[in-house]
Amino acid sequence: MTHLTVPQILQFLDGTADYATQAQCTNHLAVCGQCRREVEVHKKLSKASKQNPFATSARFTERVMSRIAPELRTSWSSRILNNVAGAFAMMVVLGVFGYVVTSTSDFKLESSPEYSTMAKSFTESYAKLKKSVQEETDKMAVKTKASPSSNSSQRIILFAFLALLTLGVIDRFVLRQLMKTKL
Amino acid sequence: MNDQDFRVIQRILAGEKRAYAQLVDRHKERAMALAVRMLKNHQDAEEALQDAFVRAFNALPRFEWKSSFSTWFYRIVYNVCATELSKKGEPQHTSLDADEAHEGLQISSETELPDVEFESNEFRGIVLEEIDKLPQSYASMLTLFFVQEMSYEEIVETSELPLGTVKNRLFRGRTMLKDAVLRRMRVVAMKNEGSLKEKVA
Repeated sequence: MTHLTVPQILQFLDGTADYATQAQCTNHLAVCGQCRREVEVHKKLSKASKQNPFATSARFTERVMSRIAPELRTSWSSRILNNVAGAFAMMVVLGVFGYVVTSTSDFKLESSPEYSTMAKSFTESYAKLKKSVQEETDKMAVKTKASPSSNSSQRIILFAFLALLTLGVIDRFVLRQLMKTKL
Repeated sequence: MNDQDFRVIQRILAGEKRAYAQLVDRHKERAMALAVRMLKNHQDAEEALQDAFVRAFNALPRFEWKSSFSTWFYRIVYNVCATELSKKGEPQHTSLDADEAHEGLQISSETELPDVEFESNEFRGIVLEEIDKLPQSYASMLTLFFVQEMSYEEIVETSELPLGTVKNRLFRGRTMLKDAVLRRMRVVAMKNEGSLKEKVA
């Protein structure tokens, strides 16, 4: 038995064979297991070959657009300005929130059981900061029982610390994003 | 003609440059497949693709709607990549390519299917790896045919190669791919069989 040729099989599969070849293939495949297997393999290969595993990088479109229309590109100065403004707004919100919380409740650093893990870590960091300040300012050591005036100073230090930490996190994130930018 | 492309191009030609981002987003992934398979390097492919998009944008006012935007655009991608290849001194045509007669290619009498799952991720991974290993002239034809889903005629238009050469490359590429994949699958099947025997022992 003469088997089908590879081009005949592929044309048959792709639907590009002429009518006579199409009929010849259909008739032959009805009786030939070997050619049927060949058709089956090519079908599976065709299906798998349609996949596209390639992707462009995340900012590809932006880079193309910046080459085509530079006027649409966000300038560095406005990006930095936006980031600084965002950080400042965050600091104000945190400051107000912290002031409201601490001024309306009995503010204790270590005893409250409902602190979350994050709050505890902040508290620990605060305690370390406080300790180092105490060592540095030996003569101005804070008494163990906090007085009203030392409470307010504690709050101010805590706000400043939280604000600095938040700014640090934001800046780190923003800086990383900016470093990734290739313009 | 793709209606969406048509509308976006009209907007761009009317002065709305920003709309070009939609065309980029729509075509970049499939065009990337062609560029990577021609240049065999992801970074070079991305740079070539950027150039192609910029060239297409600049040439858009001269686009005559004789073909679809995608066919026209892939021709630009193909040409940019071909230029890159020639800059590197890499041959774009292999010696097998010289209108070699393919009519006589008989099927191999050893087309035994190995005992492996043809729908598996492993099989699909092997197929993609083996396409990447093919010479770029075959890999690019397969990509235009399978990923871009172009007809022979559209591939002729894109690559500006004669129909006979396109068919020949597609036939040869698919045959080479089949042989390579089956070889790999047999090795996988043998390994699976070996590890099964070890477990039983």
